[in-house]
Amino acid sequence: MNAPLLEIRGLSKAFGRVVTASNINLTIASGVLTSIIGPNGAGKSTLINMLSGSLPVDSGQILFQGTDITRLPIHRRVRMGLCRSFQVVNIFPDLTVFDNVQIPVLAVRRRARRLFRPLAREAGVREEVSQVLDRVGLAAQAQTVASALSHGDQRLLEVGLALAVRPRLLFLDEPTAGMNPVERVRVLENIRGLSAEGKTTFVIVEHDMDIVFSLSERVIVLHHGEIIGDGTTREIQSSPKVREVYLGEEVAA
Amino acid sequence: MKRFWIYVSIALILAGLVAIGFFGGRFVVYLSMRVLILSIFALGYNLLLGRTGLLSFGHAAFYAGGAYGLGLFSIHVATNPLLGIIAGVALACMMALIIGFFCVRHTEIYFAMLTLAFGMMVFSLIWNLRDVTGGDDGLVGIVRAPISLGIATIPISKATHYYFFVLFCFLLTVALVYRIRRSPFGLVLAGVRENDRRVEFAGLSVRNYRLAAFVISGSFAGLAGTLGALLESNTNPFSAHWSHSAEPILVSLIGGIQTFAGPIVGSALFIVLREVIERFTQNWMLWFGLILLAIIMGLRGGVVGGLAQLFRSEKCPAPPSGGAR
Repeated sequence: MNAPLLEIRGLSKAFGRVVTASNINLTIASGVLTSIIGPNGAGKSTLINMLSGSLPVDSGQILFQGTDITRLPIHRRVRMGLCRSFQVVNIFPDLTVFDNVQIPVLAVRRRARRLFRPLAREAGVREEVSQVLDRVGLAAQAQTVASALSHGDQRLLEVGLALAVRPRLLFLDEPTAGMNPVERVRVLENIRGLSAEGKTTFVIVEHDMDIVFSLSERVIVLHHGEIIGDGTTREIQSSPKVREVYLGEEVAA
Repeated sequence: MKRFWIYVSIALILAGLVAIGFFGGRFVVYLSMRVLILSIFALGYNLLLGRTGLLSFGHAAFYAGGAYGLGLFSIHVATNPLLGIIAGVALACMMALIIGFFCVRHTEIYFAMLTLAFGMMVFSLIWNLRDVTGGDDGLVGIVRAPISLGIATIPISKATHYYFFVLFCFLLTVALVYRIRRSPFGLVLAGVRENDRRVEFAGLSVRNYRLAAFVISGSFAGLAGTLGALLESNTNPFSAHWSHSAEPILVSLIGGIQTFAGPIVGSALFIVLREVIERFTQNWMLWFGLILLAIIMGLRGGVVGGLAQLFRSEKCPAPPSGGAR
């Protein structure tokens, strides 16, 4: 298995005349905490949507661990180990926190099709759900209905749901948006810890420069659907081109 | 403590149902059978409506599928009701699989309209295929032959005997639906209702789970249809009519779609109220509509859901606002 975790070849997408991805070539290596940044409308969300399967591509190829997944439906990609979290809270609002996490755990353990067996008897599933809840710090609220959680806790649950499918590659779309500083630190510590464990490779899409530069080992800069910068934090910070289109804009704003 | 009272009330209801079989008059037994059959229909249906969050207007087609499957089987092949029921449920299941395959690709209003369209197609097929289905006369002369199990035969031709058979099927349905709701599969269906996108990102095919729920509920509709055909000794083409599809929706709403017992309570209310009102006036629909209005506007979550809420708020004056427990 020498194939890279994710390989993108010549990926393009246009909405009418607005090009949101033009001929993107990218390789993401296993274990490297990567960030994707870019000004609004740079095509970050489009890129993630195409990689996770929400949007069909116009042309190009997506290879996951050497397998072509360009046309696979979302759930098959998730099964292979490619998952994402969302910018907007995306949970099961009327279920308890525990049941929320239970659904992906059941799926990943292939228990979801069991028709007549009581859920209460799935001891392994319950244990794994508790582990996930411990990890994101929601163990105390396990029996709370998800819609009653604070916004920050809902975001934590969202991350938990994404982690529960045991992904090999996980895209986090602005994982700390709307969190208070305490929650933010907890999530970032989590991401750093999980990344160090090496089971999951994280790719973070962020606006917040502090997060990006404190966390990532590699930064990719998108602008108008093209990659204009790709390197270590230091390289990106000192790249004149990136400063011009991105950092420069932010300073001017 | 709460659990204790639930067991007591279940035991009382069971005793009551058995007592009806032994001591009930002809009319009471007949009415009870209709309640039980509608309950089977609605319990299965509510797996789709309350659990999976899909509103189907086409389940009468599967009810009729069961009825006509059993009727044709008993007229042309064998009169054994057990085999007939298996044939009827299998036909309903096949129909649900084929129709569902096309319908679950869409959601909400598009799903509802597609099921309505397929339901009307089935109705007009039954209406027009006179040679097979008897057209507007339906299939007549379906006999309630004894159930032969090899070692023993159980006669069901008498109404009270048949009552116990229907009761048995009802209890079987209750047990199956109860287990499905508490199973991993049942939780995934609730997930589909809450947020189908998230289910997709849990690595599950939403379409397949919707289809499975559709087929399961269609099969229970078929079971109800076979029992209905045996009860009336004939089949009625109007059992496939879309207006019949509204019955499980109405009774689930009356009882409460988010509760387990809702469809059962709703069925009892629906049939009994209708009988009572019909004695006083021809316009039973008008009065029934008013009662329905009162229930839906007055009791949030139906009779069962509403009463459960009242009961809970009496115990603790400040209703839990859903915060940390």
